[in-house]
Amino acid sequence: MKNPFYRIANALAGSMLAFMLTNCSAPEKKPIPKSYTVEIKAMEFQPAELSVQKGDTVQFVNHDILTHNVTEEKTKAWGSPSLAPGDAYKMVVSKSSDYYCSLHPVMKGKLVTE
Amino acid sequence: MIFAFSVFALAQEKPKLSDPEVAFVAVTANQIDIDFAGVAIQKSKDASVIEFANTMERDHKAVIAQATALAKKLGVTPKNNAVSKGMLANAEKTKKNLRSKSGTAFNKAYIDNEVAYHKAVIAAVENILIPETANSELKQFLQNVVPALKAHLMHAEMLQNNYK
Repeated sequence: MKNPFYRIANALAGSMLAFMLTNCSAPEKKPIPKSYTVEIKAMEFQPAELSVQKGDTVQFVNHDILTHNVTEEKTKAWGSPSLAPGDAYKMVVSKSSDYYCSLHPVMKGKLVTE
Repeated sequence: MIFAFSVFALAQEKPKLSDPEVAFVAVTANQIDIDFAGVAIQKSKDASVIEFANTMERDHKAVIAQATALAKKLGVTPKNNAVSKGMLANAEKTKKNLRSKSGTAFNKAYIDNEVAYHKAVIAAVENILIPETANSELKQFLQNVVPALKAHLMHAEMLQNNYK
């Protein structure tokens, strides 16, 4: 008959191993932030809807013939300065937003965080 | 309204225009809307109307600057012609009519005219100026302006709903 001390030690070792296997696996990898581009041309945001992860960067580039801006639509929580043709505005996305050009309110776009 | 219908009539008549004449008509059409905007900025007290007028002034000035630069690059000297003269004469009548109004009546008249004017100019650009332009760069420039005119029209129609 085995020594009770060894039986307890074996049980403890087994429990510890199980705990380590279930709880001490490698730390979860955070996704590497990605960069996206939204072109402004022919009086449209292209693409008009973009799905991104929180923390990703979106660059708006004005390839149109007129000055535009990019403004959060509901509360104007964020917005770019005026973007002359050729200008760009970069932002890190923290949440889903509807946006528009406040100079041309018919120009609308959407950022969707997954 | 008289002005808008005149331009539309011209679009249907399809007058023959050379590239220098097309360039002059394009600049004239933009300058006329800048002038209408100037009247609105002076007379209106509605923030959304003033904002719209500021956009018209800024955008059409930008288009004139680009058209002038392109004409210079291409060696085209814009030439006055019967179409542009007719447009200017009608614009004077429209401005006189706008200046005679005030308050809500002015805002309604200005926005109604902007809707009609942009519809007429889009028709004229698509049906006369683009088809009659020989130079490919000038033709491309006019094609690039059309989306802006259409966005202006949609913006004006949006405001028009406030004055129905």
